[in-house]
Amino acid sequence: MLCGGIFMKQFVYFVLMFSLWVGVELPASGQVNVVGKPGHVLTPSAQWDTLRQVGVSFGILPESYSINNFMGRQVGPEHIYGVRVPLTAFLEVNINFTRKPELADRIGVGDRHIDVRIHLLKERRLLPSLVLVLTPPEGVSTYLSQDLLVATKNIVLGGAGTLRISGGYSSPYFYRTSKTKIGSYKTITRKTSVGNNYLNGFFGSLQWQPWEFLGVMVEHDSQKINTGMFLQWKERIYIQGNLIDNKEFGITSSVRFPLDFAPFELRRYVKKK
Amino acid sequence: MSKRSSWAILVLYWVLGTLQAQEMAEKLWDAGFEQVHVLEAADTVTIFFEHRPFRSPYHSLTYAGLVADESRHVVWIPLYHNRPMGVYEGNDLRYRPLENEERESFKARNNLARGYRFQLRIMPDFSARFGNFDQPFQTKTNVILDTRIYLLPGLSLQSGVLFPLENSLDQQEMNIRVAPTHLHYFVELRPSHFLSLTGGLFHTDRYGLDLQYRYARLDKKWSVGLESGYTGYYFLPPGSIYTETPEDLSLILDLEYRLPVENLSVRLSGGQFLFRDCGVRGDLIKQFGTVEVGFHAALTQSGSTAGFQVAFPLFPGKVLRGKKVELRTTEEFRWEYTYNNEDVVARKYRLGTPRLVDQLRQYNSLFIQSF
Repeated sequence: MLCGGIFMKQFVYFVLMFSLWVGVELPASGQVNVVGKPGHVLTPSAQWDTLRQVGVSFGILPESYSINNFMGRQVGPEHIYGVRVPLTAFLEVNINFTRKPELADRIGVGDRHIDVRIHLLKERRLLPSLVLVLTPPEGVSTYLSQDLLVATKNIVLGGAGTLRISGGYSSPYFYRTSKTKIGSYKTITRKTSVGNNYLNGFFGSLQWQPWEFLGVMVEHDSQKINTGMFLQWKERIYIQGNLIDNKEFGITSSVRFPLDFAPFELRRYVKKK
Repeated sequence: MSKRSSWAILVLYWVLGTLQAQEMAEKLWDAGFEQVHVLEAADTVTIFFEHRPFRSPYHSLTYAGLVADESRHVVWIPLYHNRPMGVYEGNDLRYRPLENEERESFKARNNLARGYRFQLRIMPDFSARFGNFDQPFQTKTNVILDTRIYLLPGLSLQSGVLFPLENSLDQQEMNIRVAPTHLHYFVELRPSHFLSLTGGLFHTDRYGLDLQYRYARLDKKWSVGLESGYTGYYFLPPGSIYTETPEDLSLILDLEYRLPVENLSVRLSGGQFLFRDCGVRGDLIKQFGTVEVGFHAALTQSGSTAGFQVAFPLFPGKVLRGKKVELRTTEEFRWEYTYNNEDVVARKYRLGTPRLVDQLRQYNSLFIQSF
């Protein structure tokens, strides 16, 4: 838990480096949930980024619905940074850093989490896309674990936009490593016991995107109902406002950009020619 | 036709050919290529070049192809640290090892004094430590302005100036000081047997000797290597140098396999890491064009860790380029993050010169032909 604010600095540095290096290469957007996975408000979807770009996301969760509860207490709102890296056509790695601004001077960025997203089935005319998310059982902050299976089907409504329906099941348990003076031991614990009141069991969502740049959604994250609305600019930059439990406000934002670009000097030369 | 006039035509062809070759060499030089040698034969052109501004030889080859704009069959021989790496032929950049004749031909033409620009490179330097309860933010950020000068074939000196920006990591003062400075020798001992020897001041406060050997056939999936170092701690207070006797020996053996898909490589290393820490480390490395992203996990006597690393060139690359001088940003910025903030697990020092394994991975023809 005491991983320190260094991560905040590192993250800022990382993003700075990213922006320096990306330069004029314009990012493309992808809709993600608060932890940076393709999804809705808190629930994930089985949507797959076929452009295979890297995504960087930033989300804010209100205090009462934060997912990283320091020492079991809820202390202020929570910031979640996410990076999503596509490794193969069917495998993605997600990394999260969580930050409690009100505890920043004590714990810095807070806990971090890594998981993999595996594309089991591609979306067909009738069949949905199917995705499996797995978290490695080892780690310091395993209570941020997500182990789930989700399916997504897109229905094109012609002039009325697109309807996206997702549903799945998420394991309500996680593999906990507890450190004591005697040593460390591992137990299988319920996520709710550490205040993680989302994605414990069946979840589902419905999203309607009447135009390319706008969409609205409603979801059941296994414990509560959340709604959200997003705007995206040219499929590059994306921002979403959320109403968690239909009570408190939260934000998700993300940018997406390709990694297989050529050096700037070469791109410029090609353009000139 | 008289004998004399046919001689004249031959000479004319020869002169025209030489002029054409010279013109192409100049075009390439102006575009940032160095050590350019253009050899013309009846239906093929052999071009040697070194290109330091780009990280990946694939992009250098592509750029050279566009600049040269040659309709004949081109045999490209890119150089790395003044050594020919391999032959990449034609439009599909098909690989083959160099022939002896080509090696000799390069040796005869290699010109260290006039073949290189004076390149000034801007590079950020960032180090951090985590986990200190009282002060979790511990970082040190510097900017390095450095250069590499070739002294002998394969032998170069890297040196520069380091400008500190901030330091909350250690006691070091904010004095402008010498950037990691070392001698670097690179050679292909026998075909596919690469050796790199580095001696001097490195990053991560280490100085000493570093040896890297790798057997890598550039058209094959497997490669095996050894990384060894004999280093000590150093730091540079204003106006002096503080060193501790080198006593830290590291010796790591590794095996790397390039998966047949997606430019993914898996690497398993084992041995004694920095600070006499014995154990194993596994890496999964994905090459995106010029960017590399890696994930790793390690288990050693000190504990276990996992993390990731990224390596990429800094924008914009070229800043200023003249006939003899160039100012550019670094072709490779590498940053590694490790999850374990309590123990020092499977650490390596950074040399300041890219490691042999990371460089050879980019010259692999399976990577170059994957685009």
